[in-house]
Amino acid sequence: MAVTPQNALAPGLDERRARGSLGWRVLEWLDLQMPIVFNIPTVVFLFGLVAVPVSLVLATSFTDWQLITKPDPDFVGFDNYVKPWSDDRWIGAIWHTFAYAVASVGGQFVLGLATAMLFNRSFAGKAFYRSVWMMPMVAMSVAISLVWILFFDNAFGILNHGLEGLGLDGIEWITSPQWALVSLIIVGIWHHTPFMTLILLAGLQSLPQDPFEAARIDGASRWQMLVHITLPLLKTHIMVALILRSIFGVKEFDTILAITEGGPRYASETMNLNIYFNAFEYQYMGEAAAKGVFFFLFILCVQSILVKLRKRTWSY
Amino acid sequence: MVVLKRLLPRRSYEILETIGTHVVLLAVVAPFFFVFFYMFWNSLKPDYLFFEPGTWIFEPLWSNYTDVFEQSDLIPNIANSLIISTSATLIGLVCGLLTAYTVARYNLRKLAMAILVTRMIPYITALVPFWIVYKQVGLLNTYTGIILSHLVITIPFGVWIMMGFIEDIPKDLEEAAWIDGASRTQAFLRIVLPLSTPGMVATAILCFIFSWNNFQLALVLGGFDVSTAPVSVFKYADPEAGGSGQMMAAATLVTLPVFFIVLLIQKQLTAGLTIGGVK
Amino acid sequence: MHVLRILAAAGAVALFAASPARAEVDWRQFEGTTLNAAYFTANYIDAWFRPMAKRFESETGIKVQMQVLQAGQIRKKQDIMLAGKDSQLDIVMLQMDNRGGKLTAAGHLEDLQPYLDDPALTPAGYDYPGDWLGGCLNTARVITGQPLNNIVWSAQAQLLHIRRDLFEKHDVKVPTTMAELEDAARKLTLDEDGDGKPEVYGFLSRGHGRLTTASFATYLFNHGGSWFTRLPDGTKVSNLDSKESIDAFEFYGRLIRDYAPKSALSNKPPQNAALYAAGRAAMLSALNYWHGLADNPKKSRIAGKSTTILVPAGPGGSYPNVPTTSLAISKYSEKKEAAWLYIAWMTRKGIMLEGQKAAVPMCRRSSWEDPSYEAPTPAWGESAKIAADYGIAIAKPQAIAIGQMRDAAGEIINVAIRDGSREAIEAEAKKQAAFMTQLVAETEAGMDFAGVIPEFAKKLDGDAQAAPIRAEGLDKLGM
Repeated sequence: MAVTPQNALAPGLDERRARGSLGWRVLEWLDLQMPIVFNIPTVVFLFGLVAVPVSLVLATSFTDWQLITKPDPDFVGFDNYVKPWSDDRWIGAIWHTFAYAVASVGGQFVLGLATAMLFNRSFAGKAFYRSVWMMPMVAMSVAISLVWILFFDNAFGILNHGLEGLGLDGIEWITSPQWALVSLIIVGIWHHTPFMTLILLAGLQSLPQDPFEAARIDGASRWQMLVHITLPLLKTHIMVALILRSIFGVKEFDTILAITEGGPRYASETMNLNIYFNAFEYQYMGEAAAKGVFFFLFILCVQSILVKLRKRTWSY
Repeated sequence: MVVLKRLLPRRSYEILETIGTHVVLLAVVAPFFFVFFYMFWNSLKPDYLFFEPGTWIFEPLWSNYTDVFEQSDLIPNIANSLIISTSATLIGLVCGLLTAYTVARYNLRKLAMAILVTRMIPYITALVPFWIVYKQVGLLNTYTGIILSHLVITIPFGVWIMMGFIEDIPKDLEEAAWIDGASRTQAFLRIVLPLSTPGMVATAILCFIFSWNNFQLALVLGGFDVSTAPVSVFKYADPEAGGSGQMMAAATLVTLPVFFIVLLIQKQLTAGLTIGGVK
Repeated sequence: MHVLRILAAAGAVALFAASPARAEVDWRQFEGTTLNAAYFTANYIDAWFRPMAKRFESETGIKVQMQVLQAGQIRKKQDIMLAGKDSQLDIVMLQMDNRGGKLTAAGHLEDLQPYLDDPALTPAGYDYPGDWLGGCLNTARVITGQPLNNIVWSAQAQLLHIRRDLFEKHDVKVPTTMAELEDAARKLTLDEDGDGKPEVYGFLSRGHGRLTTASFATYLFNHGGSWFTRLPDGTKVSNLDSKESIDAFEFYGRLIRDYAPKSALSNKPPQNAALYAAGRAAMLSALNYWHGLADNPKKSRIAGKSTTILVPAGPGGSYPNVPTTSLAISKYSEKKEAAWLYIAWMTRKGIMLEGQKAAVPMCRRSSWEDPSYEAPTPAWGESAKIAADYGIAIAKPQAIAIGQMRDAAGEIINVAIRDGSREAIEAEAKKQAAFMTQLVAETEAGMDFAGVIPEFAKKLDGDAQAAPIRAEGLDKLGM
């Protein structure tokens, strides 16, 4: 369908122009200015709120401001942008962020797709199962973190209790550098898979049935149908889900702070946590701001790649 | 499966399949549900039992709840959170709908991208700058202030989810209205608005959840008069606040309101997302 | 239990208040004011500050709004509000040995001396510092020449909680030296059903990141180590790579590794306390107020079976660690007089005595020595008071850049607990000490930041170590 040219009146309105009453003139004006008028609230609220703080962050990133210990900042040029790169802890944080996001979003996607296909079938009690399934999605991160902390306890947690019941050795879930990040990924998958399921389910339910009928007649296996029909048709939904979830994934904060505080030995510290500690525990506001700018660019890059992938199917 | 299908009479096969489906479903859903069951069950435990993970039967200790009521501001803060999240959701929804409509109909891709970009800002970095701005304009420790800050979450989300719904509303319907003499605005109000209601419900729920769960913004920008539920709950991340039992009681208390909301409208949520399809 | 005690005590004070008042202070002079107080989560906040705020309001007409958050969050909140000169914050609760130096150096806390000297604001018998215990006063000032900007009110000493029933049953000597401590930990790691998993662990203490410094401090100083030392030319440098300090790391790490459950690696203090209260450990190195939990029959399986002693002496002596808590007023508050009135009210004799009776260990000597006060156990009373009197605030490596210092020290403890080999500890200590020394040079140039160095403390005499044990009649065990 051809796109209606911008700032055009609705065709019916042209004919009534002659009437020229005040009401019609307002409507006419609205028609012409619609893309502007309709976006005033969003632009005012969103960009109005964000503009000044973000500019302040940019300004701070060139200073050595510290909240309590150096309240009168000096200009330090690009120091804050250079310094982190010789810090192993920051480099580590970048890897952890990446690993956490890829693994948790990947896990959510696989599990989300499987459950979406399951819920796409018809069976009794569907509403019940679906409600239960959606519970983690709505649960407050801080609250569920508290439960997972108890699960992960080395000696008295339910997980190790179970493992030991099976005759296996307990795992130091959140106190060993090898497992801490894995534990957080498990929590991430648990917490956010339902969101993935929901979006993919919505996609599945809007798919046309004809290609499946045709494939079935041709005797395609379920796996073939999944790979050759379902996934390609679902592409847009998959991309939206991945874009949204991966933004949340790299920015995950509450559960990490509550469960491991980035530890042990910074083994589960993500960029967000690192910035948080720099800003509030060590009070290097300047360095935290510069890292924040980098973090933003990092997210932007990841997203641009995802959006590029999506572009092929951009629908408008 | 296929072999069974051939061997068994049709009726038995169907029964078997139903049972199989439910077994699979239960297996999938159980671990997800278990966390909440554990949360509630343990909220009634005396603290010393937390070191006996095998003990499941015990005399419930309801004082964990009364202690939470008495010793924290959780209840008033749940009320605050309801006010704040509802307001932020409504504003976010209106902004989201209007913007999503123009983005879809006028192809304002740059605007859409700019909105997505605001979603990527790591607000951890901007918390102190936010505080400074808020102090200058006197928004600290006010409902208005926290609601406004939550728009940073709800608006981008609202726009991006609503975009999918709007795209799926056939343009012909609007065009027909135009021919009948409606202006664009009138067509929007008469045609698009009613048709996007299911989508708005779904979007509203998602926005509400994200706003409800946000912790850092309210922590820094709120204060002695206005604070939110997650801020109260985080107190319990330090178990010094009263032990594991109270910790679970507090977690249960903040989880309940959103649960009820989801139970009430989960049908609309899935239905809404399905009609529009999130694209 | 606590609530009952507080209520009973409240009744007593109401009677006291009804008697003819000697008060020159008009407690109702700021009626109608609302004060904002930023407090960190602690059990005494719920058990003590909340009920007292209600009573303060009924007596003075001043409302106290408290925001109580987990320590890390409230620090952030206080820092932002103070740095931003926000007048909404009136009362700050802090530990001077933690952020006291930083906030003092920045001048964010009000000088309280004028208020203390004002007879219209301070009751006549208030008696600061005359009635305060030495250990508490030691912690109140951290920078040489600083003004009096806080009133230290509570002394939460790090003590060794012991299961007296287990010591008696197994006839184990109650430790007064580090060697005896390890011996007792070994003997009281009990695996009665022989499944290789002890039912009772011998020793329990913090093993979790930056929080570990507080429990570790006494072991460090008793071994003769310290966080910092001064070179002959007066430069403050990290002392964590000295032989004595490394001995301490090695010892502490071994105790946790060999005699504590693995939960110690993730537990925060309250979880350790709960674990102890569940009867799963024979000894717990923790703050004295956790005795309240262990003794609470509703929450504990060992009510009546636990008591506390001083952490055993080491080759370097005995340095009870007293992390104290202070109340201060924000320099930017617009209600400073009312805020002071609150502090003076909360720390006056009658109220402090009540708190003492409700098991909040106070800094006033008179609260401990009042004839009506009865300690929960004889040894608790004895050890907590010795600690409050002779102790020093060594819980954290005191410095302006306190956050980084705690992380650095926590790193070494991590290595000590996990790896435990002397070489590994030495390597890590060397690395972190260099970092700490450099950070001191960067952040404390030109500042006489004393922090706490052992020479400030009154020396504990040899007999004091055994006094609590004797008071409980446990001195004959294991002979």
